[in-house]
Amino acid sequence: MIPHEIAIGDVFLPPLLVAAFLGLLATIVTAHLLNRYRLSRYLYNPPLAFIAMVTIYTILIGTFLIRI
Amino acid sequence: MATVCKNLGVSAQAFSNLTNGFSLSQRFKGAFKTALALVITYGIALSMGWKNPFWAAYAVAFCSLATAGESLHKGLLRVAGTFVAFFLTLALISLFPQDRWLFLGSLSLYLAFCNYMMGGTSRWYFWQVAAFTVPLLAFGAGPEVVNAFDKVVLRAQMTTLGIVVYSVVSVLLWPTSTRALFEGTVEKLAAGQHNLFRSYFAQQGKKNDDDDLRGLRNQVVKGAGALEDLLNGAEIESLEVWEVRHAWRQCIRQFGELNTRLDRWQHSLDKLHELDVERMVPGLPGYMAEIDTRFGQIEQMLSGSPPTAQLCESSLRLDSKEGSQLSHFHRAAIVLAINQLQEIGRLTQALFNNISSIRGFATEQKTTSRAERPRLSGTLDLDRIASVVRMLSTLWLALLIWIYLPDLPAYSVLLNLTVSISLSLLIMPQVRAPSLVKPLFLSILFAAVVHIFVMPRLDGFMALALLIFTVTFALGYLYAQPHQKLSKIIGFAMFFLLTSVDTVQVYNFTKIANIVLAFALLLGLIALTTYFPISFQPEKRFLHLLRRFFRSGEYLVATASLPANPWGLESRRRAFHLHEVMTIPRKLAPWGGGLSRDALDKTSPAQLQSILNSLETLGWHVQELTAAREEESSNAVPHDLNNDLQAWRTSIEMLFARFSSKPDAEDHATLRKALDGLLERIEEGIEETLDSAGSRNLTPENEMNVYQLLGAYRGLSEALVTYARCANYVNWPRLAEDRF
Repeated sequence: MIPHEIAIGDVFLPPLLVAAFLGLLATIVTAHLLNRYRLSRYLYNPPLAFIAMVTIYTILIGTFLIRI
Repeated sequence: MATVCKNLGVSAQAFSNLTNGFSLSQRFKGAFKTALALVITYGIALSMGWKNPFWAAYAVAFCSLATAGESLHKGLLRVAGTFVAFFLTLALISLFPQDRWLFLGSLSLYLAFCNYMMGGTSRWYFWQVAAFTVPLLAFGAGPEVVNAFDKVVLRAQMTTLGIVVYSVVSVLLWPTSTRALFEGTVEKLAAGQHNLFRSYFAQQGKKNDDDDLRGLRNQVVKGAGALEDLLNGAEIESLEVWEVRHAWRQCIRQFGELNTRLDRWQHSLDKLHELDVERMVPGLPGYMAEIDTRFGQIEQMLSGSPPTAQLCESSLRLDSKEGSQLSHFHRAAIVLAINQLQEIGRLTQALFNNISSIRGFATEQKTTSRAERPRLSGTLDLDRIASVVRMLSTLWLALLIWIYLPDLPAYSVLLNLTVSISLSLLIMPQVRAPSLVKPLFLSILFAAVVHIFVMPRLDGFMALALLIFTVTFALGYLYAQPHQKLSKIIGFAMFFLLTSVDTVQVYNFTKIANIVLAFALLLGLIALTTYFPISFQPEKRFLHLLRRFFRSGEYLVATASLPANPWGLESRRRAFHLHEVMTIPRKLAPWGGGLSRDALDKTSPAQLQSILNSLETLGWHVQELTAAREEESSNAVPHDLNNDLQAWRTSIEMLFARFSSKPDAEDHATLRKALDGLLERIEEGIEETLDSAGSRNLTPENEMNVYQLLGAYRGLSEALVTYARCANYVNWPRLAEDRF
């Protein structure tokens, strides 16, 4: 499938931007749940884990949901 | 008014009711003045054909405060900062025209210096403006360096226009006097301190957590904290205040010190409630009455009346016959309480003299000489340095993005915003990036709608003026409360930035999209630098500050004697640790307020506050012990007693070391038992030592010094026991857990 821009009216957005934004949202929700159930204490460095999760979610969303 | 009522045929009461109904609130007046000044500013700038009128609008919006003097003062700071930035910008561009790394390095050093200086003064706004204006002008000049001069002149012109317009509006329309507010606050503070003094004496150390008393104390502390800013405004506005400004500054310092002394005196009374103090200290009722008189005279002079009573100097001593029947620790407690009371006496005397000089009631006019004004503290503040590191990290990330992603749009907006917001983080380091998302994006959305859909339909300046007035009045009115200040500033900034009113008006959606992108990147950078390279998570900062407090306390307790050379390294280290111990409890309060509910577990805000109070008390006692040991080095303490005190000091030092690694290292009950046992042993030892010292002619001065030392050690130990009790309120392992 050919990567394409996402159009909202006449505003064109690069798919990577949308995937990154959705990846960030997913990570925020995950981080909130990990904090809520005190699972974040098992992570050595939660901020680094946050960046890693954003990257992972962005790639997954970009691969399977929005073709980047 | 009587004539008016007669002519109208209404009664005075009815007339008064009618006019009161039309009185406008301060909120309305403040918002109206700001909106009017903005309209006039835009009108002048556009009619003169000056570019970037929104720079003048920023000056109006950010310098409009409650009173004319405060606004003038802030405006002058902005103008002064702009002029300093003016010269720095041209200097940097001239020195490094073709070498970007040297240019950026020098700029970073300058910004770091300004950022550090922001934390040490009430005039921090000058340093902030001097800092963020340089990159605004330097990067805004673009590749043509010749534009830089035009840019800096335009910035200075627009800033001055905004300040002048708002100053004229605030002075002519509903002027509010900063001097009246300042003097009113001083009067309330003096009355509050007088009431506190009476209340503490009436309680006589009986534990009474009266809500009214706590409320009064908070009111007094708040009043003292607001005086410096009010004086800054009042001295600009009023020549009379300007002429005696040094004396007023001395008064403010004395009021602050008096607050501290009153609190310490109240704590020293804790150990005296079972004693008949008036019998032990015969001159006490007279001395208390004298201090009460002084407070009364100070209040009288502040209200404008001359003093009616003469002050008399007296001193307090522990009656030797009555004192001999007490234990040595009770004697030590009385000596400490007497010392605190004598300090209060000294401060009230100094305040009386100062205020009578200010009001012109003094027979000999005393001018405050330079020697009496305190010199700048040379102690490094680690928290300010941490904020500077954070600012530099944010700045360099933004610079590297600009350099290595050259196609990034709105890079100048990103850089300017990065500098100004990261500088502000020194003043409010607890602000997290997510808390800025809602106000930022709501205001961008609103401003974007105005820019795209409303502004193209406006015809002529009158329509534009109506739009500007309506929006800015609404912002000023709806966000008038102090806690809404940040939202108001963001609202104003976004409105002026996105509407971009200019002599040649263009409407451009791409600009708005680019600004949204710049803000998203900026929030990302702030979020990143919250964790790297120094963590500004509230939980981490709280624990880090607590560790530093106990390590500094350990050092101060451990250092055996005063260093000989006051300018040597040891002295500087000592001053640094003393500064840490005195300032960290105050720094902990805002971080404590930012702790998440999950981290606090079952700890209530009141329990957290009790920990902070116990740390503040610990800080005082460490300072007292340090001062008592400075006396010790000049007055000989009996050798046997010295050995006992050394052992005591070592155990306190070990406690500090344990608390620095684990805040709840010691159980309160165990410590209490250990302290009671220690006090018994030392009491027996003192009896033998002082009896044998008596036969070797221990002077009264030495004896007083011994009691002062004993009191200081006991006070510090009691404060440690109190802290250990309060530390149990917090689930420390849970607080220390890693979290997002």
